[in-house]
Amino acid sequence: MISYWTVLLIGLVSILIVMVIMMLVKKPLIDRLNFVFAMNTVVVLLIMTVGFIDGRVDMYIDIALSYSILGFVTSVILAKYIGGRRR
Amino acid sequence: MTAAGIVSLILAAAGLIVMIISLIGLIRFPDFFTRLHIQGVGDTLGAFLIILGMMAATGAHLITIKIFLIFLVIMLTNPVGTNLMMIAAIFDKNYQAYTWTRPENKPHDTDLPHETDIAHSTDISKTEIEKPAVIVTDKPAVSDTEKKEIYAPETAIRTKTGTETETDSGKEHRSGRSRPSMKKTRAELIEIAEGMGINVPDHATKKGILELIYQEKPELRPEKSGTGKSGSKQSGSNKSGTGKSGSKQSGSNKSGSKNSGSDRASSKRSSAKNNNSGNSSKTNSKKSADKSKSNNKNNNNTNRNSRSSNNRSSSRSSSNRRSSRSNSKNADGKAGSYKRKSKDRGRQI
Repeated sequence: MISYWTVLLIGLVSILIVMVIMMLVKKPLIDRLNFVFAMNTVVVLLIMTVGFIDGRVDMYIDIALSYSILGFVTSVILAKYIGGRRR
Repeated sequence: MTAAGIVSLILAAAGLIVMIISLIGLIRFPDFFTRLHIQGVGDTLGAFLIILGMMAATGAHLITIKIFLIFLVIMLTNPVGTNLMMIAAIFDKNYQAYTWTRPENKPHDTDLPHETDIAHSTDISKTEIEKPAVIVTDKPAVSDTEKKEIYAPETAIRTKTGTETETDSGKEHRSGRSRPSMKKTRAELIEIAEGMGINVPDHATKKGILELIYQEKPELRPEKSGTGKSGSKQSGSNKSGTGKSGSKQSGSNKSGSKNSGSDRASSKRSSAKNNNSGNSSKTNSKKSADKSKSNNKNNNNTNRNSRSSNNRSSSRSSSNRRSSRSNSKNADGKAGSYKRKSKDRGRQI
């Protein structure tokens, strides 16, 4: 039975694949960082939809919450490493 | 199909569409900062709509609040992340010098991908981008007022005619790195010299290159005397290399500069009045175009020194007030009302 959650899953996975390809293709370094940061939200939503398809949402919410925070921290660290000092 | 199901379907579909549109924007936009804006705004909106759909699917439960918490975290972290990336882009040295050059001085390509890749590679032999680039164009020279606004330490653009027809009315404030000195590296000095058209031998030392530069342009030579800047400015403006070609102005100014130094040291003691009065007459007779403050102060100090012996009370504040008033009034440096006030003070006392 194809519910709309599977459609959402397929759409989000395709977006994720395109973002990964663009991250590898684009030349400037900061554009890649941009895509890494954009993938954070997509992955969080992906976890939630998998939870809805499984039926038990309450197991997957905590994982999504912690993943969002960790992803933000990693992108902050990367930005600090890549960027220059404030003059 | 329940009502909650339909609502969640609509919301989730709308969120998915928004995410796809933002992805297209991330790929197709021309500049990095526009892409950053798209990611910051579009992704949060898409996430908001999808999460609203999920909340509608669960219904009235405690889990809906938890789902909303996830959206709160996304809402707080996305703008902060975009701001950080913006800062990383702007203050990155080799990102097109995005803030440090004016639009007409920027290089022509908006994206220079190989430069940024080289800058962050670990290969030491490739990290030669921090050299200042000298670009020769046919554009007219930048005017003096615009020069002070330019703050471009990395790239120096010279025109073909600009460097020779420049007339300095004193050492104006150029951006600090374009002046040759011993603090620069040898490569930078060679570039400056070649920009001016000097043939630099291969084995020359830094001092040798500096000497060659100073021979070409003696105005860049720093003054050794530690006196006030007015002396050095005026001697720099006269391009007479020898200085003995009967330029009375330079002579008087030089002596004036010497006097200013000595006067500042000995203004508190009353030093030789004859020399001061003689020089003050020389400078007062000519209407000097440059009304440097030190010269006026010099004259007022001489006047004060010559007259303080007559007056008993010459408090510093009152004399300074007198000198400041005379500065504003007369070109000669003498205060018109000075005599009267001194005489009044004498009478009062």
